[in-house]
Formats: sequence, C-alpha cells, structure tokens
Amino acid sequence: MTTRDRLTIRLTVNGEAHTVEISSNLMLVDLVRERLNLQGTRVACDQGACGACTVLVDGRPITACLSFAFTADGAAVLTIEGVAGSDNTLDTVQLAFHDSGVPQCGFCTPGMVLLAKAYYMQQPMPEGADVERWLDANICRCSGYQVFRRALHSTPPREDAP
Amino acid sequence: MNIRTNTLTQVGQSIPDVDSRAKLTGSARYTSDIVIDEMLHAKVLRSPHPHALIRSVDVSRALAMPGVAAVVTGDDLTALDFTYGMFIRDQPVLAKDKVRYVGEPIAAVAASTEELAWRALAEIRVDYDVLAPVSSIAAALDERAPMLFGDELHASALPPPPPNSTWTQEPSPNILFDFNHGFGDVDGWFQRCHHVFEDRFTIGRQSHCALEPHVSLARFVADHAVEVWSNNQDPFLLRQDIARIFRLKLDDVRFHAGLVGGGFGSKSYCKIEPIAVLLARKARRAIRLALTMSESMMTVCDHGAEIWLRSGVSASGETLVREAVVNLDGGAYADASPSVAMRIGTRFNGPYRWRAVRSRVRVVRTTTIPAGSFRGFGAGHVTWACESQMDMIARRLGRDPYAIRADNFVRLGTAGAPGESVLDSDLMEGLQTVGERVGYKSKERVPKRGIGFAVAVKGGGGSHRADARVRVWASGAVSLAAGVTEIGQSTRTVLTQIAAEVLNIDPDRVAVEDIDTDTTPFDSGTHASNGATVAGLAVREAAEKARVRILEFAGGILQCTSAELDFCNFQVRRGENRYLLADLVAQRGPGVDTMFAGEASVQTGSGSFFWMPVWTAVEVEVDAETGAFKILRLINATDAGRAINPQRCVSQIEGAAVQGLGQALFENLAYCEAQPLNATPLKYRLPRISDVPHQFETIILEQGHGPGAYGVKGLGESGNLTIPAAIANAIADAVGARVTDLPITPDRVLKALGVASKPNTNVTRTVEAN
Repeated sequence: MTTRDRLTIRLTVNGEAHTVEISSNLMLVDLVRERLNLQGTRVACDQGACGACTVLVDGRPITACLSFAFTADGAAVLTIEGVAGSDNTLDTVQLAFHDSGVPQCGFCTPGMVLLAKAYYMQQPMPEGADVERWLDANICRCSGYQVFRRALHSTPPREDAP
Repeated sequence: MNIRTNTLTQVGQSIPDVDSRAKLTGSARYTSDIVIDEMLHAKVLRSPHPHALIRSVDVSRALAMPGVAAVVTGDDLTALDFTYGMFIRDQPVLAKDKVRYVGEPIAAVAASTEELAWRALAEIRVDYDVLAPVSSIAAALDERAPMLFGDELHASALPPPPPNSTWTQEPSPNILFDFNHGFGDVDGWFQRCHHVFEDRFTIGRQSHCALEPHVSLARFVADHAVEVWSNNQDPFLLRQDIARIFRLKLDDVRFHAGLVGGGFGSKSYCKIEPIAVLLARKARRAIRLALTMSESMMTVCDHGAEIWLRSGVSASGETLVREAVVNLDGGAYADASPSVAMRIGTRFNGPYRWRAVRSRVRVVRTTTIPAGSFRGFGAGHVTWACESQMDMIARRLGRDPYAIRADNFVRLGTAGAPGESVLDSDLMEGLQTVGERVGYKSKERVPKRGIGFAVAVKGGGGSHRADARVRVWASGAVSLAAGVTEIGQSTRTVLTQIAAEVLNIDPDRVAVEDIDTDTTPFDSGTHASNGATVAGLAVREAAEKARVRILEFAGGILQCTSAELDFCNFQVRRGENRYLLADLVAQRGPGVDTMFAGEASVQTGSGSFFWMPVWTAVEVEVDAETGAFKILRLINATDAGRAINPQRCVSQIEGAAVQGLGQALFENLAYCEAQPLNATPLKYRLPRISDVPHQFETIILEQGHGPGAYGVKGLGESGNLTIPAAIANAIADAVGARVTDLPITPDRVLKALGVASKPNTNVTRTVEAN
C-alpha cells in the first residue's frame, strides 16, 4: 500500500479523543471493533441492509459497515459502549428496552438502541408513527417487533425536551 | 383451564433475560467477538457453477503471497474421514473432484488479515468441466437428469424408523431419501367416504438469516488435540464429528459455545467447523473463519416442497382418510433432510382424528443450497398444506371452517395416531380463545374483509438427553451448568428461574456457565424446543440434590434430621431459628467443603415428549383489483403448559409469528435458471417493523399438562407454523381467492381471483357460544 493510502484522522468516540492512522479503505465498523476494541458494534449483513452495525456520527445514525472510517474525521462518534452512564446505569432507551424484554439473541440490540436514541435526540416530541418509520431501518430476526413498540410507547420524551 | 398455584416464587415471573443488560450495553460477547493471540483469518473460495467436475485447483499464486500462511483444498482431505452429515454423510468438508451447487466451498485460505485472505482467493485458479445443472424437483425426478452422485450408498447414522414407517436411503443417486408412513385401511376408507378432495400445494425456500453469521475458531493445543469455538447449537455432536473426521480421540476435541446471535435451525449440526480445523492443522496456527451473511445463506436454507393431499371426509365433514405425497428439495447435500422428511411424513394427521393416513416423502437432490433444519422442522410445510386444505374442504362442503376443525380435533389425553404419545393440550380451548378474540362470530361481515384460522400441533423434546449440574457455595453464589445453547430463546434465564425456585434464592445469585465440552454436562443438542422442558427437569433435579446435601450437612451440625430444616436465601431454617449457611460451614472449621453440588441426567423416549399447539386467527382486507391485501389483525395463541417466564414466551411466539409472516408474504430464496437470485441480505426480503400489523396479539395459555418441571413444555417452534395458511384462509374468506403456493404474493392472489368461482359468503359462521 502506498503512503497515499494511509491517512491520520482525529475523532472522538464516546467522548474520548483519538488520533489514529488508518488505511483509506478501512471501514468505520472495523476501526471501532478492531482498532478501538469496542466490540459491542455488530457486523451482521455487512451490506447496510440490517443496521446491526449502527453507530451515531454527530448524532446521525449510520451503518458503520458501509462507511469509510475517514468520513468520521473530526466527528463525534457514539457507539453502544458510550450509551450507558459511567456507572453503567442504563439510559432512557436502554431502560425501556430492558423493562420491555427487548433482547432475545441480542445481536441487533446495540444498533436498535442507537437508532432509537438518535430518534429521541432529534425529535423533542416523539410520535409513535414516526419512531416506527425510524426503526424500519433496522432488522431484528428474533422478535416480532412488538417488544420495540411496547418499549418505545413507554419511553418518555428525553428530559430536556422543550 | 389454567392451573396456577400460589406457592411458587420464581416460576411464572417475567424477569428480564439474565443477559439483558450485557446485550443492551454492548458488553455481551459472541463467538464472532473472540480474538485469539496470533490468530489467522480464513476465507472460503466458493463454486460459481451449480454442477461441475473439478479438473485442477492451482493454489501456487495464492500461497506465494506474503502473509498467506496456508491454503487447503480437496487434496488435503485424503487421509481424513472427510464427509459429514448428521444422518447421511454425503457432504465433503471441501469439494473433492466435483461441485454440486453455487456457493459450495472449494478451497480455504488462512492469512494474516481477512482482507489478505479475500485477495488470496482471487489468485486461486480452478479448472472446471461444467456439467448440466439439476435446478428443480422436477428436474431431479427426470430419469434423463445428470446424476449428482454415483450409485454407492453413503455412510449413514439414521435413527430407526418411527412407528408404522419405512425408509429407503438413496434409492437412486438423485433421490436422497424415500420415507413411507401409514396406518389404517387407507384404500378401504377412500372407497367408503362421501367426498374426496385432491389439492396441490407448493412452498418456497426460506432463508434463516440469523443476524450473527456462522463463525468458527480453531487451534491445535497439541498435534492430536484441538480446541474449537463455534456459534453452533450442537457442541457435543460437533465434538463427535470433528473427532471422527480428523481421526482424533473424542477427549482430545474440546468445543466452546457462548451466546449465539440467532439460529432458527441454521446453526444445528456440522457446518463450517471442519474447514477451520483443517486450516488450523495445516497452518499450525489459530484460525478464525467468519462467514458473511451471504455465505451463511449459501450454507443452509429451508426446503422448497411440493405437496399433494388427497383427503376423504364423510358427508358431514368428518375427517376419515388422507394420502399425502411430498417432494422435498433437499439441495445438494443431506444435512438434516432425512430427519425433516420423517417429521413431515408422520404429521399429516395434524390436529385432527383420521381413521387412516398414508404418506410418502421423498427428498430429492438438486444443485442448490443444501436444505436443513428450520424452525418447526417441516411442521410448517405440513401445516401450510393441511390447514389450507381443511379450509378448502369446509368451503366446498358449505361448512364453517371453524366448526369443521372443532368437530375433528384430537382430544386431550388421546393419541392422534397409533404409536404416538397422547396429546397434552386442549385444542378446543385455544381455538375458542383466538375465535373470540378476533370476533369471528360477533363481527359484522365487511366486504373484502375475511377471517382465517389455522391450527397445528408439533411434537417436541423427543430422543433427547440433557444433563445439568448445580453448585451452591456457602458464600451465597450458585453456578449452573447445562449444555443447552443460548441462542436467543432465554434458556439461561428460564433454567436460572428453575434453580432459584428450588433453592429459594434470588435469581441474581445464579450464574450460568458458558458451554465447554470438557466441563459442561452433556446435552444432545439444542433442538425441538427442548431446553426449558428437558434440561429444565435436569436442572430442577440437580438443584434439588444440592439442596438435600445442604440440609443433610446442616442437620449434622444442628443435630437434627434434615426433614426439620428448610433452606431459603442461603439460610438454613429450623422453626423460627435462622442459620446462615456460611456460618454453619465456618462452625465446622477448616477442611470442610464450602460447596454443595447436585448433578442430574434426563433422557426422553423416542416419541414426542410433549406437543406444541398453535392456534391462529387472521383478519385481512383484500383489494380485488390489484390482489394486494393488508393484514388487519393477527392473533396467535399457544400452550406453554406452565410459563416459567411469560414475557419470554410471548417474545418467542411473536418472533416466530413474524418469521411465519415473512414466509407467507415474501420470503423466498429463489433461483433463476441454475443461479441463486437473492441469496444475499440486500436482495432477500426480511420482515421489518412496518410489515407487522399493529393489531398483533399473542396469547400464552397455561393448560398445565406439560411433562417438564412445574408443567412446562416447549413452544419456540410453534408460533410460525400456522401463519401462512391462516392468511391464505382469510383471503379466501374475504374474496373467494385460494392461493396454494407460498409466498402469497399479490399477483398470485390476482390470478386466484380470476379463477374464484364465487365469493365465500355462503359459508355461515356457526361458532357455538360457550
């Protein structure tokens, strides 16, 4: 690989600043899983169809399996490891998922948590129909999706909503 | 009748899954997360041809690449017992001399990175002699078709035929298995019955699409001893496979299994594990072989099938006699097909009483993806045909499809067929439950709207052995070990609740050990919805033995009989007195074991250990101009016997229902000519949240007749079986169109509307009110 193919990017991941030298064809999911050792982000379909690899880049949900790592240069990335509080207290979405019994095999769960979290970050006054349109992006093969409906209809809007 | 007693504290509680927090915070670890120091990454070269002779494989350019450590091909199999297959061993670890489907593994590369392994695959040169494909059931049955195999029979390990059955292994090279089953005077009853109906049904291939693709890691710890991690639900069976294939001692093969990211049948029996072991042996390094989801989809799928049913009923619609002929598309290799064929062949009586039944199930070989286990193990195929036809018969006779079912149900406590175990559910209660919930009798008829029912019973838990060990430490911890794989069905949670119930402790105190075949008690595999029921019995007995040991120990110290004592929250109780177990142990001073263990083993007989019923009611609205239809309401009920954890039961049944919904509406792994059309997640349509009707209810009955601990019985395979037939029946109820091919696409509805003779509304709904 020529030097042109390597570059240095700076980004924050779960609030922590990183400077990493990467190859230009490194995918964001591999940066997160293999270089930063944050294995909670899952690789499932690897084609952007299922959303198990969803992470938030500057608050926007993206499929990390289809995103080049360099596109996150200068961005703030949130992975599943950064969602719970520092003492491992579950955040609002995680708690709602926990109480409703969402995880089955659990492989889609981190992506679903982040997708729902992004929605609540962007929609101060959430509505059921809207959140379902969001969740349509990701696939869960174990559940009948009803658990997500039950969980999200029990989730209050985020505390700082106007 | 729902049986409930108030003395249970843990059983019946909907506690969250014991791994819920780990799964929600990303700390849960799956096999795909395992990293072994210095491991190499493997990739598999796959056949682009459906059928071809391999003239030569040249790996020299790949091997010469820096970073490539080893390449294996069919030539590396020579000294091995190199074919596998749970029942008929016809599948080579890597193609040797011949490929039989697009996607078949030909060679595998181990390199320092996954990317390098991919690149090395492109450097392997394979010279093929392309042969004509055998792409369909019809092609396989054509005597002029090219043969996939020679005339010799493969080594096999087939179980004895079920009662009233015979089978023939590989009667011809393109027919893997021919299964015949029957009871009663079939020909006599056909002459005596009033009506005979003959119908044909087809069913497409469903792909499992578990979100965690197949992954295996292997390393040799000595020349003769190997350690394997695989996200497979049969670690103990795999240990035998690997020992046999590589001519190792069973004790020198060690399998690990942790959390599995979904399976639905795709992770049963041997899959990619031998390739990882073969590479580890050749490279003398640890190997990680992780498939993509596309590769997983090319590893195994469900069976496509065509089913003819000829059924004879009395003038009033009493079910009398049935004959079924089934052709299953087994794909290129046997996998679980012989066992699926046996399950299908013995289930054509369904939930009804018949005087005589005869079936013939043939598994044909085609140059397509090998078909194997899929949730329900063929019960979905049977139910699609039988429950569609039950409705068709009712409508042809002008009878109410609900009432004709009720009239013919097998009764609780009786056997549905000679030699079968007795039914342990009240089928009428379930039908009434979904009938009332959907408002079948009370609702006004609305044009273009219809209600359909379907009912099924599937056997579960038979021929299974589950061992368990429960260890109680005086310090207040409990360790539970059982060989059931956690694949998303919450087995670890349910077994925890059973142990906590027996030991009178908080479930938080129980830790479930990951599976390690060197230390975990034996289990013959996570199959047939057996976990909660069979392993549950073993866990209850093991926990009970540990409890008895604690009380006997405490009796020795307190100088009383153990009958005077009770154990609760790690305290021994005698009347009003409480003694911390840790204090009693300390009283004995050093040299006393602080751990109390119980072990147990449960073996079930060869028939069904329990029966999983499912009752479904669906309401649809059909657009008669386009054939499009909308599911307005889906109500699914099952019988848990006793729900150890009702919420986890609901999750299982909801998930199964939506898998059935996908199969009903659009899931179909299709071939165009001889090439797979959509064996990749971007093209294979899976259900999403917007596909799921909002009026979607799941009802868990607890009829109390299960043979497991506290009356539990398995249910994980029930919820999907009836969905396609219930939808087809609802469409027929709405507009008179009968679709007999899966999936039920709008164009099929439209085509059926063209031939629909008259609307259905001549059928009166005659539900008896009770």
